[in-house]
Amino acid sequence: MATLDALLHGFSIALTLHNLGWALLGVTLGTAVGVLPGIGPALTVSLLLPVTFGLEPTSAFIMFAGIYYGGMYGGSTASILLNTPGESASIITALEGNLMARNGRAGPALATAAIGSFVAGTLATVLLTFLAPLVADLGLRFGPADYFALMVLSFTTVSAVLGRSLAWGLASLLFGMALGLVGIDVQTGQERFTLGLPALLDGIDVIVVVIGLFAVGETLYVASCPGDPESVVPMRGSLWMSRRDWARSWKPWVRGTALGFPFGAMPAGGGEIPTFLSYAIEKRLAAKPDEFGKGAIEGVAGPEAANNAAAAGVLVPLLTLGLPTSATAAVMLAAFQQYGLQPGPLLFENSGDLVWGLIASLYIGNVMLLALNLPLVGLWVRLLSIPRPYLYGGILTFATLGTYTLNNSVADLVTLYLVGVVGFLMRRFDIPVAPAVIGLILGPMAEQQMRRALSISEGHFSIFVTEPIAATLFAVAALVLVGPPVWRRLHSGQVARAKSRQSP
Amino acid sequence: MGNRFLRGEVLIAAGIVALGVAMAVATLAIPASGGYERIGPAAYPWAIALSLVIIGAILVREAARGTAPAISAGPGSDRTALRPFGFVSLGLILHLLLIERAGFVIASATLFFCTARALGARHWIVTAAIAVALSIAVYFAFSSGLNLDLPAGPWLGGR
Repeated sequence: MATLDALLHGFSIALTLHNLGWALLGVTLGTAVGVLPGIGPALTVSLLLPVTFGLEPTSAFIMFAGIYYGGMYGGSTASILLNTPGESASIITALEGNLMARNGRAGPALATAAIGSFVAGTLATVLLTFLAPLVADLGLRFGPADYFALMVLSFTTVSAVLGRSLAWGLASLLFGMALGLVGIDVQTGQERFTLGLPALLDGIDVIVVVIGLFAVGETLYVASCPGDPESVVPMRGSLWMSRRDWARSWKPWVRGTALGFPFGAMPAGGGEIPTFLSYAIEKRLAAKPDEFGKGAIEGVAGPEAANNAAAAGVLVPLLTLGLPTSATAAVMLAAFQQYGLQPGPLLFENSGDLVWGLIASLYIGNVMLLALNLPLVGLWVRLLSIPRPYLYGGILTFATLGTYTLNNSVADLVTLYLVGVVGFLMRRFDIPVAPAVIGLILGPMAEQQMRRALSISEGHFSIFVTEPIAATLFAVAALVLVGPPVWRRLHSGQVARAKSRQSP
Repeated sequence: MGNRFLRGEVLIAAGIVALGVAMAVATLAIPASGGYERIGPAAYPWAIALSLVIIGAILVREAARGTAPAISAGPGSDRTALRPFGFVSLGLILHLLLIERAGFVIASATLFFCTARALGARHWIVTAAIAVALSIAVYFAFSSGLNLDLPAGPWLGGR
């Protein structure tokens, strides 16, 4: 059992006092930013990158992983008590959980979300532990053409899954890819799209773009499009789940995990879809389906578990293939690159300490988060009472601080503002942001792989169809693009025919 | 919602087409010669420029016809208030102009003040006090605590 040995070794790294400290800091920060509106894990990791330059990579990633998992726990607290889902994956939790809270059942809602997150997070981390080495082995057999095909596949799925339509998703992705082209072409030294500005020679920093889109864009949006202020539902009644609550929760937890993990692990982009699926399934299986829409505990337990399992699943393609499928994963990939590390199959061979220390810390982080979230929930709730003007003033203070300290450059601050205005427009017109972030970081990598493949084949594009893995992946990508509209057309054709048959 | 929103959507879609065209023009300046791979550094930009034009055109058509899937109702209201938008922008622009001239504390406090006012902070003396206090605290925490190189400006012992 080489995997178990590796995992034990990982625990020996993660359980040092030093790394436990970083994990605790990570999960605490993660929960806090998950609870607060306007900041999420992607933004937090971006803001912390300049601060962690001096840190040993293993410790830094243990902290980042804590922020990643912690953000999920905190996000559910905010959506249950405030009905403002911090991210799309907790929309469902907000739906049913907030209704429970309004009916005086905030305690059980928070408990089933936290315990469900723990169960799902731990089970999914076990799956990650045993699946990741297998995928890494598979990845070793991938050539440049296969990698290019894999990236094209994740481009299409990410655009299709996130946001309201495939076309807007693709537009967002292409915008990110266009930004990614700015700078010097690494293979030929050719300047591209630098507009003659020396500041653009090194390209546009992913971190600056993430901070601009998420922090500046969000602040501009909240400032200029004020909605009705949501009120925090006060905590009443018992915090604990009754025996009946447990009986109604545990099956949705397990089912949610089974749904969420595969969706996260496939290069299919994030935890949104499995939460919707989980909600639909729980509604169908529930003893009292009419309780759904009035605050059913199954509708919190299932989707929340699916959300957390998907978050763990996303780490599989990130660590084993270097393929990010969510905005946070893209930022983590940028963090790896800052340390001169490239996630992928070789990471498991060359940086075993880091990978296994990171995976072991995920188990530890989940235990810490359970302890941190259930008894201390009252403390986190108090964060929600920070007045909005000061909260967003603080967010921009840290956003500009993080951007400036990245390269000590005012040019980055100009980029930050311009990207922020774009982020505002995307938020205003409901255009998904995550595809742009993924396109920005993955676009240049895809170009590299494509040109590497073409130089192996001496310029013949046939390499993309004669390699079996690449050809299969391209076929799946084409299906994702063409499938849904064709299916819809066929379906509506059937409906029309059925209608015409009915009419005399 | 209505027309204002649709017009905005058409404009953004047209902007995507324009970005694609601008990229194509800029790509003309990139020499297309390649090595073994034959396609060189201009091929990939061409592909992206072309895709932007196509996707942008599809979106213009969808938006103009009003067939695009509806925008999911966010917390925001229908209208965009320009004053707060301008205030936040003013804060960010003053910040980038001030940071290397007047130092981190003044730049950050200005940004915090403008942002908080834009979001409806009422008591401007309290807001200013919080802005200055937070900026000073952050300055010392990050420059002495974490050894980050923040511009002090002429007031804090100047560097």
